[in-house]
Amino acid sequence: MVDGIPLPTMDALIEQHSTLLYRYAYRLTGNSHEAEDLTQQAFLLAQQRGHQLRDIQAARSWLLTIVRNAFLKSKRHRGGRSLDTIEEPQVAEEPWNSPIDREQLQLALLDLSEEFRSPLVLFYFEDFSYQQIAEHMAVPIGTIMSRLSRAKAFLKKRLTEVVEAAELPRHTQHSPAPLPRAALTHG
Amino acid sequence: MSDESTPPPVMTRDAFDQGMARAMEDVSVPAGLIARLQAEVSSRPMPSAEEARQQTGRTRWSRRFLLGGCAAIAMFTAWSWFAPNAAIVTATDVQRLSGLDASVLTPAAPETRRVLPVGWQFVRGLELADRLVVASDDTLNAQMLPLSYQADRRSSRVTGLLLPLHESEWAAPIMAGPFSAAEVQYTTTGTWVVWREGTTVFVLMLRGDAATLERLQRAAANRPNLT
Repeated sequence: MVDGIPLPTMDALIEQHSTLLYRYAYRLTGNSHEAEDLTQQAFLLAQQRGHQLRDIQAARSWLLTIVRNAFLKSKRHRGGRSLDTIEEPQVAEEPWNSPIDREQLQLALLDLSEEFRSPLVLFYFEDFSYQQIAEHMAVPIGTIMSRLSRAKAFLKKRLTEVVEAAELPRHTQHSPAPLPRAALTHG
Repeated sequence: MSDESTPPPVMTRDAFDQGMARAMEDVSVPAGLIARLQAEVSSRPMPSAEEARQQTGRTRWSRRFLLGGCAAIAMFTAWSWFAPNAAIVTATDVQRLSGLDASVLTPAAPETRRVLPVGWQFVRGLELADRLVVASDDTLNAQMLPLSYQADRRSSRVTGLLLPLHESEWAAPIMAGPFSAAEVQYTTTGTWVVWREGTTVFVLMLRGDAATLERLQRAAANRPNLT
């Protein structure tokens, strides 16, 4: 009878999956301390409930589920925008040619409710399939595809606004007149 | 897995997707994270088998007893399905349950069977989850099937929960009748209907308006007859 996961296996699980779990937790919370806390909780729970893991190959999905459940139980996920009642944003389908700033991305993610944030994060992490995301979140695959479509359109719109706002001063403002030299010195 | 269920690999997606994939994974991992995690885990005692059972509140079945236990499980399932002291579900409970988000509920055990209304696998626009979810508190332990419905391409997809019950678990007497004839009622988050097929009462809670639920009723009534 297997009890918890033996320590060598736990060490291996930590080495193999901690980076993915931390990044997932960070994208869910937007906070490095909370992300590390969630990651630690996940591995401690995994140690206690190792007997539930029948296939070590399924560890990645299992650990991600533990992180998500811990996040949901922490009630840190309250808030954010649910797109169920919002029409899909209309974004001009122009080729995207701007780098995406990771902090701007995080701000936009935190503006989404968890039910939209999680599928997005999983979709872009390691090529999770729609089916895998649906199983992870225990919702129908059609719901996942719909949420992803809406969330991606929302993010694209938000990030387009950020890019346009950053470019605005360059195109519309004149260079400020140089300050008198006295203004650059103290005293 | 069908082509539809598999997104294209990241590097063959469009520029936005590729940028998103790079930015999404661009998270600095704190130095020493792995060592801290390993130290924390190794400092905690390993739970014994007994502790593990106490933590989960369940008896763990080994593989060699699994086949032998199937018959007992089936009998227990049948007994619990018809148990006279099962919790009674009321319209007030439906109001509570309808406000729940299926994605935050605990998935039921994989072996829990789905009980579906007749022909629901073939209703156009209706997506049924593979697995039940559980919502429980001191008075109720409801196992529900998440679903979603999109009436047509121009309509938004709405989510819902299907709660199957034995007729003895539903608070009010109810005449047997088709889903399509069930009267639409309202919750704070949408609409619901209750109907009975044989000894099974179904409660459908939909996060959509009455018109959407009525379209689902018509779609179910007009489903292809594959029998």
